[in-house]
Amino acid sequence: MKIAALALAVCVIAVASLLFGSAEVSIKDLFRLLGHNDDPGLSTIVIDIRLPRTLLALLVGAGVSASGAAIQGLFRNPLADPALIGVSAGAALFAAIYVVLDGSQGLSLVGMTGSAFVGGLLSTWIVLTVGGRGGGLSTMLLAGIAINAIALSGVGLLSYLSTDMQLRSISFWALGSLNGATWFSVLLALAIPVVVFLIFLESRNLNVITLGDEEAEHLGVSHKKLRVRIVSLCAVAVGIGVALTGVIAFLGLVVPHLVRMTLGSNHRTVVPASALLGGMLLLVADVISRTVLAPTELPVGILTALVGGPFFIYLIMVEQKGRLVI
Amino acid sequence: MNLSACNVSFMIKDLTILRDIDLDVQGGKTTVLLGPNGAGKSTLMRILSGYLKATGGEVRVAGADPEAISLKTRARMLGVLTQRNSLEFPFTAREIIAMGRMPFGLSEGFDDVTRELIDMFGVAADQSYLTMSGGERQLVQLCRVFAQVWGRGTEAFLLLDEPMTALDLRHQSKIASTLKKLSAQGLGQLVVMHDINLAAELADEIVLMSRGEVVAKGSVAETLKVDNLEHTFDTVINQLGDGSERYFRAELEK
Repeated sequence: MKIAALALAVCVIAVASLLFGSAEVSIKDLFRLLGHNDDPGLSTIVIDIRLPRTLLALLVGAGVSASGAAIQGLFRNPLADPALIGVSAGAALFAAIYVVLDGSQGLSLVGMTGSAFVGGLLSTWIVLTVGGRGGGLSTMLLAGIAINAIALSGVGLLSYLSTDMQLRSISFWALGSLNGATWFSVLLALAIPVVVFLIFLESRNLNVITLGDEEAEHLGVSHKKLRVRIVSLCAVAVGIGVALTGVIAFLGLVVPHLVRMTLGSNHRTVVPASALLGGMLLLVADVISRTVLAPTELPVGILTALVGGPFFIYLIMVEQKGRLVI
Repeated sequence: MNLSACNVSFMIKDLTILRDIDLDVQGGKTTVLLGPNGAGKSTLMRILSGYLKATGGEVRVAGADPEAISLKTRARMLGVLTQRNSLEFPFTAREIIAMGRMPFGLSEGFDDVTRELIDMFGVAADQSYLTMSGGERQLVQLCRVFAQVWGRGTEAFLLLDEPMTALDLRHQSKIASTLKKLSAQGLGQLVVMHDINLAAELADEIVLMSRGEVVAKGSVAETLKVDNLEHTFDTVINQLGDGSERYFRAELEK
């Protein structure tokens, strides 16, 4: 029921988001587009620019947030972030490598996205392999921290070596933006709902793993196999998102937390609700980022971190207070 | 079904944790493991439950190598309560108890077994686990493990590592009588506990362990003797009363 309400809210906000931007579009204009439209400018703004951007925000937000929910369950830590598995840092490194190695001025979406995606998967694979050897979750966590540090120092080194133009590309990408959304990027992002559905199918296993690795095994769930499946699925979902939009901070951390506070901990609810709420919040953030300084745009990653960070601190404080009462 | 260990040893690098343990628990029988901290009781439980692999010897679950049994099948055969309690998410008690039904494809919390256990133990079903006291949490975890073996009789086995931890007297007695009832239904049980007198009440067989070895094994009357207990726990033990009225307690250090 609550999920249906959330889905409805997503639809309403998605339609509303088509109205906001530097050019004015009214509800009447949207109806005109559905029927006979004689304004090619309107069609370009809504169909070619805003609609793919809206869809991309929903898909990427859903992927990052559902992954956040799964990673938090897997790590048995409600404060875990999908970045822990190294995917974002690896993607950032490979995106930077692409920017520096590609001599041409215009960066191709495929090249940039492709290398970021490969980088994300590669770093996650290293984290999984190293973490798998130690066997414990803490080994994997430490491997993730190390990979993050290595990848980010690589980005630093490449930034140092890059030209001014390249440096701008690298930093802008790291801030996260939905500015480059096209129908082609939406097409690529369509893999995200498939992956989110696969994560959803693991919901019961995620519930059980929160009891502990040993306890999960006694309930018939292999923690080692589940870890590989969840980390791989999250790497794909977050990897595609990061590759298409750059790093979107805090969403994967805050959204599942918010869902748990209101809808409980069962992953059968938490995973789909995080996907819906994450998509919605990224869309709202994007609408704000493209209107608040119009006609220029604020990278949406800055906004999510700017709002998400303090909000997260607030959540931690509320939670601590709740625990003290107990 | 029965659970057995033959010559089981366990080492971590050069450190011997268990040495030549022999154990056989038949269906419908209860064996209680007693021993000081660090005696290797929990490690033995983990090996018997199939979570750890013995570095020497053999373990048999219903006559088969536990590694050869799939995790799903094993979860339908063994209900295991560990000592760990690391849940950090606000699941409700009902959701946690229902996880015990997962091996049977029922985990939504509204099946008959989950309901029966919630009513039987008076668990606050919709209360968040994180707002519960240590004893209440232990009760919820116990109910989850019971849910896994409930009504399974001779087809299942129960391994409980310190089930009475943090429980008040009323719940201890309730759990003890539940264990007796399950045993009467043919369920084999291996229980680690520290309360010698409760062990005497529950056990068909007692195994006294110290420093990774079995010190004494046998019926309650054979094993629960002052010299055995003093040797096992390395402390002065007093016996009050005799026969079925006897009661053991550790003498306070002066």
